[in-house]
Amino acid sequence: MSRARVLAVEPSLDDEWGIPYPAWRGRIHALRRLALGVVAVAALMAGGVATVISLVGHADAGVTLSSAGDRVLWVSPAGFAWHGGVRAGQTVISLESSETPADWRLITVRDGERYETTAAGYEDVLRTVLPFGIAATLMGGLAVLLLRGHRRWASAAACLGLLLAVPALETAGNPGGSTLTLGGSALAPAIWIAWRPRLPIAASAALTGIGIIAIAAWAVARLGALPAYQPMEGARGAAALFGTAVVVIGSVVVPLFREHPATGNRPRIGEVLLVAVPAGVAIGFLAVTSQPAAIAILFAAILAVPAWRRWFAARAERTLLADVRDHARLEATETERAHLARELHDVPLQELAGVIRRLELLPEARAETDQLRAVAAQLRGVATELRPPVLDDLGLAPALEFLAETASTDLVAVTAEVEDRTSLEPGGRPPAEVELAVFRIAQEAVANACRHAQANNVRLRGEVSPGRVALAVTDDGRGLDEAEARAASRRGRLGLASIRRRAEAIDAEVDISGSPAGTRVAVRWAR
Amino acid sequence: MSIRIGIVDDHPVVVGGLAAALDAVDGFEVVDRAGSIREAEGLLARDGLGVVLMDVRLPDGNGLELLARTEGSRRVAVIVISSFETTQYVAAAVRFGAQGFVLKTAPLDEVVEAVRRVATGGSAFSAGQLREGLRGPIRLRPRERDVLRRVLAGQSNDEIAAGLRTSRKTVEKNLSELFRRFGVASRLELGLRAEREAWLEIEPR
Repeated sequence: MSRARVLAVEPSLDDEWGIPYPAWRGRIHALRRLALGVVAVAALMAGGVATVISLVGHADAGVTLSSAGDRVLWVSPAGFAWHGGVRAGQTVISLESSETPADWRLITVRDGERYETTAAGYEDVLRTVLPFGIAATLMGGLAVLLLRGHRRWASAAACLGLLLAVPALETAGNPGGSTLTLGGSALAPAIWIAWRPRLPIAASAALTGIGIIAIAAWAVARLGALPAYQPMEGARGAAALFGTAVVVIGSVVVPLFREHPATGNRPRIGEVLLVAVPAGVAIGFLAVTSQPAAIAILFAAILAVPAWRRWFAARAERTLLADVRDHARLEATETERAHLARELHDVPLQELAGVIRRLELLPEARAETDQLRAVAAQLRGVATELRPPVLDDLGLAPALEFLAETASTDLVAVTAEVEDRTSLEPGGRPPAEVELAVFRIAQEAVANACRHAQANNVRLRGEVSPGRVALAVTDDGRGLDEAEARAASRRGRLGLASIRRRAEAIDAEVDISGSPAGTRVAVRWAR
Repeated sequence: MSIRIGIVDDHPVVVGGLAAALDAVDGFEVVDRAGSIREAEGLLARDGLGVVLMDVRLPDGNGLELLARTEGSRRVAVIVISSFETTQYVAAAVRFGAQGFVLKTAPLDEVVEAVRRVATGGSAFSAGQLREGLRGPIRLRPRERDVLRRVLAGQSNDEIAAGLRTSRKTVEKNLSELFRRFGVASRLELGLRAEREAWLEIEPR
């Protein structure tokens, strides 16, 4: 995977050449796994205990009762709420329960004795414990999923878990909590979309569908003034959140944050905020004010998301496919070129050298000998063009010097300052495919600078050692315009795209950045 | 006494042609041949050879690598022969202690001249090759050239300092910088290399 980013400021070469994957990162990884494991165990335990306590201790969950005259059939063993002393077998005289569940009063009779039980102070506590329990259980479950590497299911599990928690919270008489949970379950897929740009269209459509149904149900209930309107308010809140999140994250942030397929550049954070914040505020405001017109707009916006995503995904897929095809072609071409250059060197050039030596012994063949020399020079030129022999015989650093030498013209000065820490002994150089890839990247970058950027100076700076290669090609041309790069890549001038592909093929990092002051292509590889 | 020549090349047509051409020269005698790095190792260690002409690309390795490996130990002067001539090849040949560099298709006169010069203890790099090939590594600053010129003239550090109207410390600094850059340990060694590789003929930077 290529890790490209836009660099506003050119970092110093020392920063640039830091060791890419130090040992401490491995340790951090192990620590993270450990922390995740601890979280999983702790959260699952805490969540389980909290859920059991609150459910078991809650009046409605612990006692089976109905209207006056019925008998209390069963009381929860914990009997928290029934500290007044209700037992199974008591007859219910009256049950007063107000809108706020913390306010109930139960009067029962047993063996002629009258019992009055009211909500205890900790009823409220119980209601807060339940969401905590559910959240903790969910967190634990998610941690387990992440720990086992099932990342793609984590968001779906969170969404489903939160949805399942809604009825429990409603039963516990916690409408605020259930609204929050609903909102959370709506946000989970939105976050998922943001993290997984290649989310299947079907999943995207399904998620959008849930949001639409929620909004539609709310609208019907409101317009028809149904009694179901009240609980629908909660659903509306969730739908509004869902819509806002999906629209903002799915349709604005994700496409903006994705790498540009040709240059790998991402927009600056400020650009994204400039678009996302006003869009989010507008949509959110419309949703919260509950205007039918606002809902209609939200509706349309949500409908537009899958379409946008589909278009975007299809485009990304096309790019990917083209990449794969190009890559195969690139490799085949390189193999072919190397083979041809080898053949030219091994057969005709050697034969010519031998023949020239023999012909030289004949004074009358002087003109012919010179002709053959010219032919040999031409063949040398072709072989060098196909694959610079310096690269194979001497290594990357001399090859980059050779590149600078041959690319320099009266108009463009190409200079190379490459520190060579290699040796010609076996194992003293980076792998051949790395040398070739970096050389071709440099060649492409220099060609771009000379051809398109109208640069006067091109500088190759870097270092080559057996396990590490770093190279930066900078020019003082008119810089790289993203739109231009895109257009160029569409027309088949895949300079930047091919740089990226070559870097990907050897698992090197590449930075391509441009400003009006010039372009900089930096590539970094480490064993 | 004729000049005894060894040829390292894996291509029979090249070896045959070169050997025939050189044998025909008065005072030259091709006495040894090698077609691989392995054989060349033996050839370089042997006594009695005057000059070895060595190819870069051999079936089991790189002739320049062999030069680098045997730089301190070989007893024979080497001229690199190659199908390609770029400044980088010449620079590598100089760096690894070869005495000359000749293109395989170069006119025979050039080859003969190179062998003669090398056989008599000289260097067969042309001024052009040195100028191009050593431009990067051996490009001295004007001050360094002044110091080097006086070192070659046998002056002491004090004399150099007086001549250049500078302090003895500065001269010492210049010299130790040159020692470090070219990996030499003494002014004698520096002078020998500078002479052999004609550093002062290379344009200053």
